[in-house]
Amino acid sequence: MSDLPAFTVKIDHNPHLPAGGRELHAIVTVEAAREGGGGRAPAAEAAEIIIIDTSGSMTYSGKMAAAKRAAKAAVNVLRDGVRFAVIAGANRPRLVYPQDERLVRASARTRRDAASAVGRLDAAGGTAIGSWLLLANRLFAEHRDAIRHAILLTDGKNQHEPAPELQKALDACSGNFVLDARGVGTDWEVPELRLISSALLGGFLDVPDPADLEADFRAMTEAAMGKAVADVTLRVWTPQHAELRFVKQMVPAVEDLTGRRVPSGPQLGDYPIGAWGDEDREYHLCVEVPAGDVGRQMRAAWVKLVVPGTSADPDERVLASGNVLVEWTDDEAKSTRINARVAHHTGQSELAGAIQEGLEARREGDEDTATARLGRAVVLAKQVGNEQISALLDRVVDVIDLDSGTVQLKGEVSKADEMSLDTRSVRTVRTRVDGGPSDQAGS
Amino acid sequence: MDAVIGPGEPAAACAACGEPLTVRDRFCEGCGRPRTPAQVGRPRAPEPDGPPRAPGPGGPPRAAGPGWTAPLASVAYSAGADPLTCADCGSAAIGPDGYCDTCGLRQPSGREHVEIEVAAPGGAFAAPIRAAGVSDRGLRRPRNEDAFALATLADTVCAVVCDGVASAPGSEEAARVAAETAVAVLARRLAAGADARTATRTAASRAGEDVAALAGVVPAGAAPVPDSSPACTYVSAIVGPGTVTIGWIGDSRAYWLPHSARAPELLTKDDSWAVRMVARGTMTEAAAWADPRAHLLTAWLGADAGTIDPHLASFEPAGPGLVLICSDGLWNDLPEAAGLAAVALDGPAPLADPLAAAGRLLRAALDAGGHDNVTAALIPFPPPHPTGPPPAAPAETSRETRR
Repeated sequence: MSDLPAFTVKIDHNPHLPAGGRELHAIVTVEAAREGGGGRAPAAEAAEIIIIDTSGSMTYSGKMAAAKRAAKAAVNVLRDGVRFAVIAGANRPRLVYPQDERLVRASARTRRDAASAVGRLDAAGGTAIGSWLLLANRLFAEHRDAIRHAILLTDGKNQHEPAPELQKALDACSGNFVLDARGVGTDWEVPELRLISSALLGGFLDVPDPADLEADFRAMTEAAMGKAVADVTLRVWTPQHAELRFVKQMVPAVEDLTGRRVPSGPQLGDYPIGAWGDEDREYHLCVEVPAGDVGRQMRAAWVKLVVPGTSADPDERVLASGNVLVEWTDDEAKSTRINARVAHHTGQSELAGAIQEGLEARREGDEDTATARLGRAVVLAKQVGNEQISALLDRVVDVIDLDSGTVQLKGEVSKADEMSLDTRSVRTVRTRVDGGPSDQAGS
Repeated sequence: MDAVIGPGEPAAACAACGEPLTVRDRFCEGCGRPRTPAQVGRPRAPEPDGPPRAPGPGGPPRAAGPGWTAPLASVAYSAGADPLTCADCGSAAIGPDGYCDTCGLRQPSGREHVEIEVAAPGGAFAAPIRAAGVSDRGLRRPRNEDAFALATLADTVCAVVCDGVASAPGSEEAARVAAETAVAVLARRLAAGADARTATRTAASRAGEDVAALAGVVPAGAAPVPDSSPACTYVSAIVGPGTVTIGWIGDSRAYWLPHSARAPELLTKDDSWAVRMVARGTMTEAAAWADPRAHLLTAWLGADAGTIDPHLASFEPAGPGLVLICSDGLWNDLPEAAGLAAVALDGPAPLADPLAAAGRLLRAALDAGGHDNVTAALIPFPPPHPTGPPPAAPAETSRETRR
């Protein structure tokens, strides 16, 4: 852990509340940068498990062949010394490499052996994702000091184990490793992968064309290899009698962390935020505080980034911190000003909600709600400058009037487009300092 | 270096009458004679030039406190004791940045508005006022990062004004430490017989060392900012019976405001971008001051300031008047000496009541917008003689009011 990135915390908010004002919004930008930039491999121990769906349906549309190529590509970019395994998932999980239940260190030889084992995979059987995750969880258990990451590829619904099994498996795995998921084809369930990747602090994406899997797996594994510190916690202090109404990750994707609070002391709550390499993420905090008199100042929140101790150095460490300070004023010009970044992220939260609600209503045949919510989404996507989502919405609705959000549902919508819009509804764009949209976050 | 004696030290006794002395006594309760160094319970540090330290809970605000062995008949004041319990929720945990650890409300620092008067030593009652100052947060800044301190010796008055550099975290503390250190050093050196110019140089450089020592001490709650150390400006005045000596670094100023038909004048030359541009002849005065960089400092006290070499100016006033030292929160709105003189001297007996004159200056700055912290210290020239009983029974009469 000698290679910890330098973390910085930046707070954006309007620090002025009107007389009697109690609700405060702030955007917390966390940046991690390793000395010398991202070119160098981190020195930290890492563990990687690749989980490939080998259920019978994988044989169609060249999915199995593409999945094998993708898994080999992932194995090939593991850096020397990383502990890894490959799991094949069907009704039960099976270790593809190594054959006994452990992780092996990556080397030229083990990478080659793993690739040839992957090459011999056949597709047969069903889908029981919970059991696959539990095997990964057992393999990671020996390596708590390493940065633990898994990749899950599936093409279908989790239909070969009782529904509560998946939730039980997620509860058992939560906090033990980070998992990024990919759905290939159009027979998998968006809410299911959202549930899994969200519980395991990772992201998920749709890969409609199996041919794209290989590049995607390589990129995902390279990103995992770039992580330099695991198990980072966002610790938030709030004043007595204050309430932390919500904590949401906003960049790279919308993720409501509010329910994940773990109390860590008086007025302190911890929110796990996973493993970090050279990257930055943004969080939206909403605090309700007791109103102060005009002219008074308050620390409404105190945000710290904490990493747990290791076996070598058991003390936890605070990597960076930031203060959310407020002042009550009777100057309306100050208190009514809306911080541009807060406005941007509020719009993106609403956008994600509008898309998910609109698609849900559409699936249930409630065309009025679907039209209204997706129309609102069209307006919001334009407002926040999320061009990717605007383009995806265009495949689901015909825009009649952009300003008012008047739209018509398209009669024919491909399953892939619908799933893509659903999946990517939470992908956000960053703000520039002036509040305008800039680069796309995520992929 | 402040811990010459501290609370709990064995009590000493008055060398003249044997009356027991507590650690807080600077004068004997029995015979009224000043405590002498010999009465201090243990050897002093070689150079006890430390500033007076904060007294315990409930004590007066940073007056010359226990352990500060003040030179004979010198009184130093500055203000700004830290609050110890939260006035809102009663919690005893106030962070170094002034926010309560429990309810989160920022506690008043005691420095939002400070007024200090120092009377001539030796007078029983109604001793003439030797110096007065006012420091105020102003109307736009969340806190007061200015500080000042005053001291008087038998026939000489010392005053220091410092202005914390707002962009450098911890500068509020820097200004307070610099003012307190400098006034203590001035008083000691003058009492020890140093000439005013040497004392001025020593005080500035000692203040600079103390401010530099604050670097790296990150206030809780603040992220460490690389390459940014607490910093402040500095102006000192020594007003003796015949001579006025000014020392400065940065853009805090000194003015001479004669109580006569003579023209008032600015005694300092700012270490600022605008002044440098005008001095080089590269810009006109109007253009330089209109530039957004006008107020950038070219010299200051702080760890990143290099060697401290204060500018010095001294002069012998031809007649009575007021020496004004002030932060830029005052002169920004009233830059001309004539304007300042008109406000300061526009009252009954301005030389006898410098606090009222300082109050008028503050009012003028607040009326002009109060954009910055405002600090003004006024020292009447010549220092008025103590009236009342002879020095055989010295009893200081100094008043201090804080709001």
